[in-house]
Amino acid sequence: MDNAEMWCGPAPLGTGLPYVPGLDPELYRLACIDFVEIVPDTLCGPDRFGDGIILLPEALERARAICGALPIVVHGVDLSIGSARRWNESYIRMLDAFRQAWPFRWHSEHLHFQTIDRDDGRGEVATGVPLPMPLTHEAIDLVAERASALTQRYGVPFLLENAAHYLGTLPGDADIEDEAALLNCIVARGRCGILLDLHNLHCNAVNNGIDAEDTLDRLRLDRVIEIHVAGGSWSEGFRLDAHDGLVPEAVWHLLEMALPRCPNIAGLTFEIMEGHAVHMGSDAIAGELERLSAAWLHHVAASQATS
Amino acid sequence: MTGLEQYQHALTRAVCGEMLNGTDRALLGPGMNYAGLGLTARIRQSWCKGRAARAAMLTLSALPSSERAAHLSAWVSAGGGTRAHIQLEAEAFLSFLGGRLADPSDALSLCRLELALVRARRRDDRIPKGRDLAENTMVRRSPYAAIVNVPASIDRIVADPVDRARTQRRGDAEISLLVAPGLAGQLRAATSRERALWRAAETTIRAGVDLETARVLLALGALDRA
Repeated sequence: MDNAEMWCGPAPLGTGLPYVPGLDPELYRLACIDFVEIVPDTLCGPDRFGDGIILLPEALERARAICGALPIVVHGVDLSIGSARRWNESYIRMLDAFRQAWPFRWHSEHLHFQTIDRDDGRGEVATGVPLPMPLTHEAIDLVAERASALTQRYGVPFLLENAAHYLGTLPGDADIEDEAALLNCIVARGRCGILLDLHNLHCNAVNNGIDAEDTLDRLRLDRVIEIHVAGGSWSEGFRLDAHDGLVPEAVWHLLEMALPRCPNIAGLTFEIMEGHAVHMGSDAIAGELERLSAAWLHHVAASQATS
Repeated sequence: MTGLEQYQHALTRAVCGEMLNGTDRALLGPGMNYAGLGLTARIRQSWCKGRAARAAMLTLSALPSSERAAHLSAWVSAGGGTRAHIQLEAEAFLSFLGGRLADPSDALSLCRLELALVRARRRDDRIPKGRDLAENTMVRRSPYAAIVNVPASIDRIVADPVDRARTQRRGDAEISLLVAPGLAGQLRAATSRERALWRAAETTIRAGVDLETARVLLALGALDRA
């Protein structure tokens, strides 16, 4: 069942930048930044039992001091929403505490798994790298149910991000054509939105032979709430989802194609990893943000003209 | 096991570099790009090594690069490098390293120091006040504290590990460092009375053995009430 009637997108925010502790705080005061994307795992330490994470008050306060004047959204990494047996309960407890401390407009997670249960039943083991879901009804049922629970739990939209991988065509059920179909089915059943990562889409086009523009034609763009743009690098002939530099022109082109067709878009974010952000420098980051902001403002103006 | 679990186990085995059998290959499907799978496995290995290396920078800095690489490879082959938080990774990797380094050696001393610092920084509960400690109160070592002996030339070892490895010799002067959650920077030189009480508190003892020192160590989170 499509839960479209039970779903609505958040109010638009504009252009965003992840919170990166090592970056010049002045970047978060630029006129072209409207919101900040927080990866809460980066504000955490291990809990006293050693098997989970807790928010570190001093890290939280440091982040609030730098970007607390802007609205925030949460981008999770460690939930492992696709793990067959269980997701990361410790992450959920931490996110509960984060929500109390610092409310967010929406939150997102990657559509992947990164833990499996041990064969001997003694807990779980990390895969060491995020891995993509198969194209199956079992995967859809599992993730849609969890996505719906997350939306209910936090009372704000929950978004799933399309994954990048290097594995070719993923195995699956015959009636689920591809990864776009998988994501469409999940968001329809799971009362959630899409975080469309255009660099991930570009990677999958280069590495796995999919047609990025065709994917945009078939994806539920009405459910896209946030778009990520990012840079990447090359290794062994593969395009890596590295978030390590400037956004390539192919990704800017995909943004031009996608943005006018996303009626519920609420934010565009330039993603950059911490180590690379410091290396890249504030001026280069500001340049990417200004270009992204121009795309956002153009989109807003075009939408207003149309309506 | 459900089909989803079987797929996830097979894919995890594959990226961990295990040999795949026919069943695994069937689970991964006919469209699997095995060159891409190999790349994913190498990325995983690189991430895991990088995570472990960041977690034990002090100890690894005291080793020649070939030895560093060998320890990191052994750790990742043993399933290490995957913990979500760097402190958890540090505790596990430094414990592993401690069992592999020569005893005695400067690297092992640094490993013990780094592990003690990681544990001291992990304690998140309130450290009790020591003032009301009575002579008959029973105390013992806190698992979050340690007294570690390190070579007095610790800065030189870290600065020039290769030269140090070439000319390694024991018998240099050592200093005893108290590592405890309540210390600024979790670290300072231990006094002789603190060393004596720490030795005694390996098992539960009366605080009255040295009440003044016990109060100091309790206040620093180095001793716990038994």
